[in-house]
Amino acid sequence: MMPWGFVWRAVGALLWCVGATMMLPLGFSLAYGDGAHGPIVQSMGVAAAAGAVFFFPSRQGTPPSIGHREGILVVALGWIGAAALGALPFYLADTFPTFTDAFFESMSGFTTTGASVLTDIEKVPRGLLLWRGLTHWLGGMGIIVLSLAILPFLGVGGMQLYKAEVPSPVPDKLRPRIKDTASLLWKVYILFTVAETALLMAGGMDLFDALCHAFATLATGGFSTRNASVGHYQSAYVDGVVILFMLIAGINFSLHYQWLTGRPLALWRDPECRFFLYATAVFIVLCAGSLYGTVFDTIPGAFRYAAFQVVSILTTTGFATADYETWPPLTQVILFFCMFFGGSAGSTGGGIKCLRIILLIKHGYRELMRLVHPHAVSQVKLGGRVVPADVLHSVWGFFVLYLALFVVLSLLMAALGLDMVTAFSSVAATIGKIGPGFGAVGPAENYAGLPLAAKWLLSLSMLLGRLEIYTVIVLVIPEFWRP
Amino acid sequence: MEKHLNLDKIINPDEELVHTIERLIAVPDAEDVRELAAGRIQLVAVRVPAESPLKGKSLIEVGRMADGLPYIIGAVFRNETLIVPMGKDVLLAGDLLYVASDKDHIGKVLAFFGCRGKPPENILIIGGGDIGLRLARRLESRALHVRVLEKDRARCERLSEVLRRTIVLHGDGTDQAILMEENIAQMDLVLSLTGDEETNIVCSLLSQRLGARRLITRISKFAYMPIAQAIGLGRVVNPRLSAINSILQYVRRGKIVSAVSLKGEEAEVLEAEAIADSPIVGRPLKDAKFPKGALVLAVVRGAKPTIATGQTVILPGDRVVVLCARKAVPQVEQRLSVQVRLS
Repeated sequence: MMPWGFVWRAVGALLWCVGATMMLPLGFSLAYGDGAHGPIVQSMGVAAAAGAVFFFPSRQGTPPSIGHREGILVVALGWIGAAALGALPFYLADTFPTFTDAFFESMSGFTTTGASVLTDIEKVPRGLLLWRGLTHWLGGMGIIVLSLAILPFLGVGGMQLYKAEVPSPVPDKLRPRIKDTASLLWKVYILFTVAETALLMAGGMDLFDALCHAFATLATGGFSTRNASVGHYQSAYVDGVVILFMLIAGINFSLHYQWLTGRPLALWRDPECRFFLYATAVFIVLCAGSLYGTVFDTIPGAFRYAAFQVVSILTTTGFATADYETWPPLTQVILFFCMFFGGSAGSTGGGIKCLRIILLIKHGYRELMRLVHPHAVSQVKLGGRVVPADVLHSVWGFFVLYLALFVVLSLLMAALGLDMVTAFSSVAATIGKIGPGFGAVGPAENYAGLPLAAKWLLSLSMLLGRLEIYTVIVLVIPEFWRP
Repeated sequence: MEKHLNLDKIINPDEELVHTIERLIAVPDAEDVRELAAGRIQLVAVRVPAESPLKGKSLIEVGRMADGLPYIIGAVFRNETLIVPMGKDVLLAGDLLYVASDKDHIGKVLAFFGCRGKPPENILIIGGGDIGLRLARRLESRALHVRVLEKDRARCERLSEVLRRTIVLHGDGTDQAILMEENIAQMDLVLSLTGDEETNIVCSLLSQRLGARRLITRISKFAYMPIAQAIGLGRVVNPRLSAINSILQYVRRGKIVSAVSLKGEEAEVLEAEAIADSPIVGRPLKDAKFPKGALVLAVVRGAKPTIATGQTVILPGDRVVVLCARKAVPQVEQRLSVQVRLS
């Protein structure tokens, strides 16, 4: 018997929290007098009412322990609820013509994707733009807790490897763990957000722009307040700061916690982080190499733009400083593959993630070794420790599901009449949480022109990608609902 | 641990055996490699090949052929019998020579005696017990290609967890199929190190027949060592001998600094500090009247080792390295005027 009471109460409480955070955009809206305070206040009212509807009728006490199924349900319903609530301010303020667009934008925010259906961003009231950035930031907070406190406990997609690594005094209990881990890691998250805001303001941005960009960077989201994204500022300093913080956001936050609390070598000692930094460097060099002489005449120029775009896509942020669709085909293909790569596990980034890619490569190599030495006994190791077989299995499962969903969703997108490049890249960019793709959804364009059904499909794609696929897919398996 | 238990030295026979093997690996054609005078002098056992140019030559003739290389042949084992050689003695094919030289020249000296092999790169260890594991760890840290063959599945799992680059194979070293599958003919060195010496002998013979270039066999029973020699397994290691050699250096005290035994107990190498009233001090060695069965290999003055010749003069305070047959040991000790006591 599913303890629905607990689930609804958790969702209701979450809606209240999300509603309460609308205070921040409300404040900005009033300060700028942009006229968006009405819809924001109305949305807060709806949040309070909806939260009450979920919370109060379900007064049954919380179950003694929260199992896998309740955890999964709360996560999935919570994300959908937050996205629906987040769409309200946009919808009520008539920012978008349809609720579909508002929902897409909000889902894109909460899943830290950054795919936008806004054509002229700079005309939208600043209060709403701040809300748009804040959805990223809240989604990022959610994902840190999800990936470092909940998924390792649920054993989703190889994340159980992190069970022992996350800072928490009680390693094996879900509920105290969520609370402790959240309070420790959110401090790190907030610290970096403040730091980036300050650095961006030092580079000439005003508080509003700096804060919105910091929100979008740390969450690896990608919503900018400018039509030309970060490219608007034409500043190497701003590019540099954003690249640095995108990299930070692409690294496991429990590692940040470690080096900030007196273990300065934590980043370098972690095999996944090393791999992530190596991979980033290799992709930057490849891209810069293919850009030098074709698009940029100077090596520093080629490196600046290559570095920004590679880091933006690898960490699945999705900011742009250049229209990479005008770049040579080789560069575009490299960037397309970067979309599948993703950041580290335990970061706010999406994609397949470095941890899984390392394990897939190592496992593949081990299979090759077996062909050469049929009697060899070998184990997949990470950082000198043996990776248990069940972790490898769930990583393979994740990989297969990821690619299968990519194939199915691309087929559906093509069935809706999109061309091949757009169909492939829109799915890759949403399931991998990047944002802009190629073709009709490239960095110079947006998702506004897609058919209605495509927007709903891509919203689903974002949700699937963000919740590590298993967590959503499992909901449609009948076995899940059997007592 | 040594400090906490207030011990001077802890000797682990397995660890000593691994050191012995490592020294052997470094000199591919040697049957025994010892270090004397704190590593400044090496004493290496090499066999005279059947088609050696040195065959049938006397030591004086060999010395002329060596063209000034600093070396000394300290002992010759012919059919398991020790000869402490004199200048007119003749070398025969199959003789096992104990040759000493200083660290800088030992490479050239070995080449002169027919040891020209390169140190091995591809190594197969049969038996993944404690010794196999220790050795694999040491070798993989030197970037050599190491494989370990172990027949216990659970042990294989354990080995593959602990070892980083070594390839762990599950199978029996006496199984011809798996040895061929692992391309044993391409192996530079096969070590049979299981805990069972009969198995080790069989594994080594099988590997040899399948084309392995060099072998090292672990044998624990002293009684088997002459047999191993007779069936062609020249390079044999013995955990007890390794431990004994390590212990000997601590047992003999007084002015004797360290002692090494060769070939079981047939001969010993002593290192002692020459004292002023010793009859061997102050005159050329050829006039020093050393007992039969003893030979000064080298003299270390300060940090500088010199390979002994008839003209070498020992001064008080020099460290003298003497090889002597077992029966000559007491006489040599007396000649060095050394108070011997066990401590």
